[in-house]
Amino acid sequence: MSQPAPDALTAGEQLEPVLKVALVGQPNVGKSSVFNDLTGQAQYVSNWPGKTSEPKSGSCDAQGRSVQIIDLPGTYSLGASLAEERMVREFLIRQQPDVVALIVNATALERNLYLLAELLALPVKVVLGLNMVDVAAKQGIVIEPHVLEAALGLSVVPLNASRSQGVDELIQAAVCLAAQPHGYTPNRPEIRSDHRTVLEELQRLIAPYVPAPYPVDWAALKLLEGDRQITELLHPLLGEQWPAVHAILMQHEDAILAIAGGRYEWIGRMMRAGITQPRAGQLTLTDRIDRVATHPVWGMLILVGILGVLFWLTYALGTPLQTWLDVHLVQAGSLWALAQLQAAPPWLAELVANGIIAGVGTVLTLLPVLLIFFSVLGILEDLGYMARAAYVMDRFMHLMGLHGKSFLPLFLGFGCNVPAVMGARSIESPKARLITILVTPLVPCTARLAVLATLAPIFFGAQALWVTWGLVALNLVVLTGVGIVLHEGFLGGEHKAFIMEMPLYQLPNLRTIAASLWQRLVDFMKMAGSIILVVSVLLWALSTFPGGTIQTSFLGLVGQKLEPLGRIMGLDWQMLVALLTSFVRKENTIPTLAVLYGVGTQGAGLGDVLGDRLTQPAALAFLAVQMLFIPCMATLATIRQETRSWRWTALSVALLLGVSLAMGIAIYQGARLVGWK
Amino acid sequence: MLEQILKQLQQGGTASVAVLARQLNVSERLVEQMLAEQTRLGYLRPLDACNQEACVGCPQHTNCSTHRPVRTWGIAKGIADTIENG
Repeated sequence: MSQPAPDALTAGEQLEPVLKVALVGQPNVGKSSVFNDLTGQAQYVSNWPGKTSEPKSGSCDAQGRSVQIIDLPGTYSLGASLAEERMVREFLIRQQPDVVALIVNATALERNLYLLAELLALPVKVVLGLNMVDVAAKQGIVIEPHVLEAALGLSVVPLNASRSQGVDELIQAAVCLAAQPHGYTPNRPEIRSDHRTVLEELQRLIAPYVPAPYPVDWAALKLLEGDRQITELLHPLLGEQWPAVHAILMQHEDAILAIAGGRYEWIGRMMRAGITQPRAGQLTLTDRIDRVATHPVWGMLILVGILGVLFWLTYALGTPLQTWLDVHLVQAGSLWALAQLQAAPPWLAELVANGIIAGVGTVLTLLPVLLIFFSVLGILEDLGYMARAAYVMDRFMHLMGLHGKSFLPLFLGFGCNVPAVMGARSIESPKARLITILVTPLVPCTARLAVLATLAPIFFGAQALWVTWGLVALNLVVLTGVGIVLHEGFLGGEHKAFIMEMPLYQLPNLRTIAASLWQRLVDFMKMAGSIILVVSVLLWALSTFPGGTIQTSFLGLVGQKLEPLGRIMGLDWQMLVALLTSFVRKENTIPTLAVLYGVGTQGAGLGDVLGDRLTQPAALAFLAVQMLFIPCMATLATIRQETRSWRWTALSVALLLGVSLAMGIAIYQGARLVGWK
Repeated sequence: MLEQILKQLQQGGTASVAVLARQLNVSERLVEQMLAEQTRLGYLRPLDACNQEACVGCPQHTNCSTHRPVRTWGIAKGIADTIENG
């Protein structure tokens, strides 16, 4: 049934007057296999740009007729953007084959049906070759060819082209269709009624000017779609009619949405009619999990639960390791440095031991906490859960004019505010990014939480757990409130909308997670370590000079000047200085309190001293201020870097200073009003 | 159907591909295809967190991107007003 020796054709050449069947399809759907099987030729089966750039011709006999088979280049659509698209449609219009055999991939039918939708707008008869039905069946995609045939209104032939199954039936169907002068009534996509009127008007205007063999209705449709090639073709031909046509096109420049939308609606209908999608396997598992994981209520509870486990793991495993490192690395290192620098000037020994080693060492002690935090985060990401977390948080985030995407940097803020502020750059809306940056310092970072975890038991004993959770909740409430105020008042409500893809759940890949974790830790160490080193030296200088002791240092002097403010919250100047030093590094609060209250460098006596010096309302006020206070210097430097504005950085400081002090005053004075001492 | 997606976006909020597919009564693959079409036509724009100019050279870029990036789309600039004005 075959005649070898393919010959290249061009769009303008005339073919022999035999039955002409054109093979059309997207790249890699098995078109060349069908062609080879029908013609006995051995066309190389592949597809890359330029490979099948010309139609190939061969012939065969079917039902006693000689049939010329023309294999057209693979194309995804019949637009005018690509050379293949233009060549295929020009060929179909100019050569007018008796039948077009559209070969489609049954495993990706939606994508392939768009090409069919466009083909049906041309004056050609189409049969559909449904290739890879066996692969589709293995994927659980059940296609009912007869039902699909009835829905489409054209012949549908199942194929397995690689095994030559169904190819003869396909060509027979094509020959039968060609033999029918009437009765070919496919179900074509429709466009909206208002655009249909416009289309008819366009047809009326351009009909006398459209050159043969272009169909007038197709040319009008392409004009309305904004097809460049047809527009350039008709513009000079329309002459004085062009302004009227152009006016219509300008008035309906979004008609492409209605036309393409009509095609997709048609594809949806066809798919619902003839296809049963998989009901088992990974996709369904993802769907089932997502019904709960993305539910407005259950999804939020799951997220809170996961965060709870994350914190529990961080504290249960990370904090003891952090303490161990503090004792064996920072304290031992400082003592070692003092011993080694006995002959050096005292200020130098102090700088190295209490400034540089203590500062940089503290960064190293954070490693276990960050290791656990980022490990869990990596597992959640690789599992595919983080996209769901962002989606679930969306409703909450919208109160602040943000969307779920802002949740990711804010979530990072629980580890450290520095990467969280930097993470906000993934938010493309400038306003949403600014709000995220401004509220991020209100997310309690591990350092703040470590201070809270140390001081809460000292002040509140058995009630410390509730106080801790209450203060974390307070931070999140204040964060939301500030976000709403910034969004609605300051920055003018801007509502953004997004579509997110939900990746399939998968088992985490430990190697990927380890690589990501390593990179994160290295980056954190590089950046935070360098900043901490500088500010540690600064802190040491401010707490040492000019008097030589902290009481007579710049910090001490400032603290004593601020004492009246402290009294409104029930705090003495030492507590205020502890807040000030936390600006350098949040953990500084603890050693500052120890030094200022005269318990030396041993933290053992801190509880007794503080318990005697502070009432519970004052302690609660202090902890609230500590949790809401201006962020550490590294975070502030990052805010400046990210906003590229001293004004916004200053606003961030003023905002957090105001909010934290107002909260401290409100708590202390409120407690006094209700008689809590 | 494409207009429905844009109108849905115009109302604000984040929609997932799965939710859009349910609302439109089509498969997720068809929704993704429509999103690709709207992106090609210039109505939507991809909002990938990574590969943005701002992230080039950032020492912390690994902290704000994920190794399983989530594809996100937003309405292209200028399109939102067009839809709102009909």
